[in-house]
Amino acid sequence: MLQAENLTKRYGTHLALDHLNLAIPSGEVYCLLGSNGAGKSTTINIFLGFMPASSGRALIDGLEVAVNNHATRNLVAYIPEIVNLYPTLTGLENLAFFSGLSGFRYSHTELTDFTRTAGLQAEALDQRVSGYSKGMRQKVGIAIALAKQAKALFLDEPTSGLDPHASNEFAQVIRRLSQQGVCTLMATHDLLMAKELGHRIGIMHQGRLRQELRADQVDYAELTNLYLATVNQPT
Amino acid sequence: MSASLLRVLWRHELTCLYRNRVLVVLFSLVLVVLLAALWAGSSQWHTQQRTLGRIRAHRHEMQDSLVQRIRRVEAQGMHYPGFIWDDPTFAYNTARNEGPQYAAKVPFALQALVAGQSGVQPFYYKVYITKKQQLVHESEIDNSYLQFVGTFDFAFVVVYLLPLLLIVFTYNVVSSEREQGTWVLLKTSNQSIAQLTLARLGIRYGLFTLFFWAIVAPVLAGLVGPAFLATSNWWWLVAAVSLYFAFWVALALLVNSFSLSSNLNALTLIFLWLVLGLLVPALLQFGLDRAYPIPSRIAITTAERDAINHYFERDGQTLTQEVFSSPRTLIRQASVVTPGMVYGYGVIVYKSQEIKDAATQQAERQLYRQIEQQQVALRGWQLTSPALLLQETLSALAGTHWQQFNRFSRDVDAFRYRTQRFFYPKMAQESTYRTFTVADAEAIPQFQPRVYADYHWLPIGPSWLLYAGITAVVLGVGYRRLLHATW
Repeated sequence: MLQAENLTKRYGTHLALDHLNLAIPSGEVYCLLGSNGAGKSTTINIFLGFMPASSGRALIDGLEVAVNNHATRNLVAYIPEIVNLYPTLTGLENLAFFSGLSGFRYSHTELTDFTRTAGLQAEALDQRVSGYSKGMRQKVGIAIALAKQAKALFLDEPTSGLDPHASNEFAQVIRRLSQQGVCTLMATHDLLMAKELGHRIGIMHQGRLRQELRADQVDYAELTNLYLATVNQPT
Repeated sequence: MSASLLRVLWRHELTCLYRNRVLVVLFSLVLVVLLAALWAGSSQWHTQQRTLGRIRAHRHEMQDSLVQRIRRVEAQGMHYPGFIWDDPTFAYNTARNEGPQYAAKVPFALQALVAGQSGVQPFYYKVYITKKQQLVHESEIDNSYLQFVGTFDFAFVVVYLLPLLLIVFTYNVVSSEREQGTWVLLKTSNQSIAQLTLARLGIRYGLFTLFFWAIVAPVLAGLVGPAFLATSNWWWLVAAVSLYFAFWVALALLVNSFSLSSNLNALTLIFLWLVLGLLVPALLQFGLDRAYPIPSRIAITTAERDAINHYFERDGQTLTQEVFSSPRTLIRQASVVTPGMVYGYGVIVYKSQEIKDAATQQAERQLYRQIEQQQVALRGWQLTSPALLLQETLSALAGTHWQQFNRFSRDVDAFRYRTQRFFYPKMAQESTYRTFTVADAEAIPQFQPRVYADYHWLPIGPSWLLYAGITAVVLGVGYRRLLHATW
């Protein structure tokens, strides 16, 4: 579903992403670990079409993002660290608007179903988003992804700042989506979440993918040691 | 862009705007200001209508009184028992007493929207054979002329206040998305940001314009009657004002395409408003006043006085001698006013008036030429400021443009000459002096009041077509920049 071929991004002389090669099939949750500036967000931004790659290709469902940006945006949903919504609209109105932008028209019941699946409490639906917690906003973000019927989900530090309960709820929803065949690329600092949620884990350092491993083949302690060893590597 | 997507955006914009308290308060304020302007304009319109009614009543009253007085004199064998200067059978007396007529410019309904020159130009005159007496600002020593807005009216609200509201309405259509973070979700939708922005601005423009006309048209119809809706003036006015609003929205799109913060967007747009709405017109006024100075009214008065002095010092002596040496006038011998004296004054008045008219014509022509030259020069610069263009267009469409007042004034001049031509032969009738009859009284010329709202002399269509082009270019540049934006 997602494929990176020698994906490279330069900012002047700084190499933010260095020949990244990646292939993530449908239904897989791929977690990208790495310290700040490792290239995780740059990877996601290139896949989303927010920025062009300096060289290499990013493909979604076989379509090259740089060439078919309009078509590939139909296939993706994005949940950043903080899901920013229209503060004067309710959660349901935000959901109706963003799904409407993607060409989907849902009834009130269908929209409510999406928010329920995303784990948003029914009583929050008609409250303005300005009063939502970070976790509630994340859930609206997931509901938007569900309503968009996205085939690929990009998450950038989605659980940062969430309490353990909210993180757990979030993980459950991602798992459900994974079971439905949605492919997920998640950039995170949360090693535990990566271990619990991810099928595969990539560790990036200075723009390069240094390690790639299956989550079920390492325990948390090994992952932590590997991570520290990778990010502490000299330049 | 599909209809269903437009429906989504329409609903979204409506909800967001409705829940924006600042905008709702601003809209309410502007609504109050707009209603106040409409009320003020219509009050002035009603006042003028009432004045016209009183003028009509006065005319009939004076006419009836004159006819009755002449009949009484005739019935008493031409004996007039009162003061000789009031004897209505002397053409000179009647010309002086009951003869003066009111000449009025009938206010056009759209005048309630645009005061234009009506703040400084008279809408009626009392016309004597010797002068047209202005009943507004008669004692001014300057020739009143307003190039730009000077009164609080609908035009002021539209030309100056509403662009500010439009700026508040549109300045952050892109920047607010970026600042509140919704930009990211918008970018991951499969819609073009440029198209979304254009559609959203289009919806805001449509909402604003529809709301505006939905208020103005019925309120105005209620205040001055709905007849104006059937005039081409009204529809041109709607088109010009709507296009003016579109210009400001296009400018907002262009400014939004520069990826500035909301604050900078607002500052830029307000700066443009200051330049286009205030600074450019003020500079143009300054320059045009120097290039084509409007002569003082003193020039006309001085020309008139010099001509009369000159006349009496030379030719006038002959006439005076001729008139007052005549045995019929008996002025030298008379210790009381005689009929011959009345006749003699009448002849002198009419002769000297012809001299005065000839003398003031030149000064008046100079005044009109300077104002017209200012206007022509201004039209050459109008594209530098849509506010200027709209102001002149609105005045012309409302019938309050200087040209329309000038045409009224010239019609009044023509009417005065007609009145003179009516009275002079009768005043100069030496055989009996007392020749003014009932038939004459009934034939005293009357001014036919009419509306001056014709605007064919102003190239409204081509000017606004050109501005539509400028608006389209601004819109196109802004759209193109958004289309290729990488932020």
